[in-house]
Amino acid sequence: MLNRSTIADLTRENCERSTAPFARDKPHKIIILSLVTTLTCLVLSTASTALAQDVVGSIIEVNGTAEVERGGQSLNAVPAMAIKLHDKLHTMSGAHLTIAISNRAQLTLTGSTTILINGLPMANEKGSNFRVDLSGGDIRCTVAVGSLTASPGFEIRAPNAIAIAHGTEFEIAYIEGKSCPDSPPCHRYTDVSVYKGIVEVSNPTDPETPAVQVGQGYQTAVPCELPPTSPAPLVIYELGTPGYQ
Amino acid sequence: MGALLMLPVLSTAGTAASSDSDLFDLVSPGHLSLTLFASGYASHAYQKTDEGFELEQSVTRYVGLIGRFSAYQVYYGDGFDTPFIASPGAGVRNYGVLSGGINLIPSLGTSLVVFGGESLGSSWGPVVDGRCSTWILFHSLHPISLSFDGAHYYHNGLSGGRMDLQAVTFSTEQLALLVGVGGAIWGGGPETSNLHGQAGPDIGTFIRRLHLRVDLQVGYGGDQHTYGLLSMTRNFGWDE
Repeated sequence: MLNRSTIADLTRENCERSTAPFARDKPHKIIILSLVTTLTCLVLSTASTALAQDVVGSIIEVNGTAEVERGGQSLNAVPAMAIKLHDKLHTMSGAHLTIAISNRAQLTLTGSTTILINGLPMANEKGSNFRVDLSGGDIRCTVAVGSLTASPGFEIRAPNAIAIAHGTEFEIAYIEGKSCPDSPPCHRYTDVSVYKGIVEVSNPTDPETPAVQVGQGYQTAVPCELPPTSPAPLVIYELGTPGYQ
Repeated sequence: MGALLMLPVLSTAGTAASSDSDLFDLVSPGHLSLTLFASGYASHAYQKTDEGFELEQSVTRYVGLIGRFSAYQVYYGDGFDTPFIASPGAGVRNYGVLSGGINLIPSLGTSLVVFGGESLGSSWGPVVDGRCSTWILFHSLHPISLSFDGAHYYHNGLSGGRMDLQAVTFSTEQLALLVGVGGAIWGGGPETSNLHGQAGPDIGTFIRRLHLRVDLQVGYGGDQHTYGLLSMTRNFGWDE
């Protein structure tokens, strides 16, 4: 006859028998599951951090046709599209493209303009400015005051000029195939016009000549390998035409 | 005489000219410009308005061809640019000047224009006109403009010229302010023995967004007494 203790023992024995395999493997499975979860979380967080670091801004406005070249592919530029490091932006003739670079600057590209987003330098590179390369055309830049940390400025590089800005609004144009008014034999030159703040302009092909500081309401030109001209009023080239004399 | 005075300035002002090897090369791309102008003058002895346009086509980097038409409305009296023989009667006298010429550009910001043409309407006769202008200290915070404009009217023998000296005192994204002095000198005409002159300060502004220049000059001269001159200029340009 089964008494209460026997039934309890039998029940306990049955439970132990039925859960014995799980009871023995449970710690291992929990460890494996924990490891897999941790690894997945690590991978996901690394990927999202990399993506976040890769995106430096976005497109605000597009008028006409503009393209974003990324990883060998050419994409049509559309509003709200992310701008990533090493993107090459190109506008067709008559187009306008406005982009925001994080909280640093806003750039407006006019027609037939090409720029490359180079971003901040790598650890083994010189310089400390956020850099955009202008290979042709005209861009207007607004760099917000106080939006930068202590060191990085905002730098636009044309083939023969570097313009560094800290809290300013200016326009830079690189022109090829047209005679430079300041040096007619030269057929490629950079014009920098400053509307607010101060911009430092230099010619990287002539590093020994000191940079020129251009204040608001003034402009400078950099012809070929020559140093930047002394700042002159924004209107001087237009006023200098015979029609206005 | 004004052109002779300008020569030493033209030789040193502006940026250095380039080599002579491209002296006769056609400029590429070419440039066509259209200038619209209008002015009004009022004094004790002379009141007039004029307006017109000037077309210039670049040929080489140093030479351009110019055509100009000016229409004048003389409301009262005679002044430094009236080609009439008879003394003024009642009513408005209208005449025009149609001329063509050549523009020499030895360096950036410097220009020497010579016109030949004819006055039409209330006055008929040949007109020779010249204009010299240059910018000194072109690449500086305060460039200085020096200009002289002279004409001879064969119909009445009047010769006259206007001079102006202005400096850019203030420059912003929207406009620039110019301050200076100007005046006029003339002689011949119906009263061949008299030489007249006038001068005074002037102030000008260039509005970038409108590409518009506005100048106001006030001053004093012998016959004219107190006078005022308001002028406006707008230039359009196209690369070809």
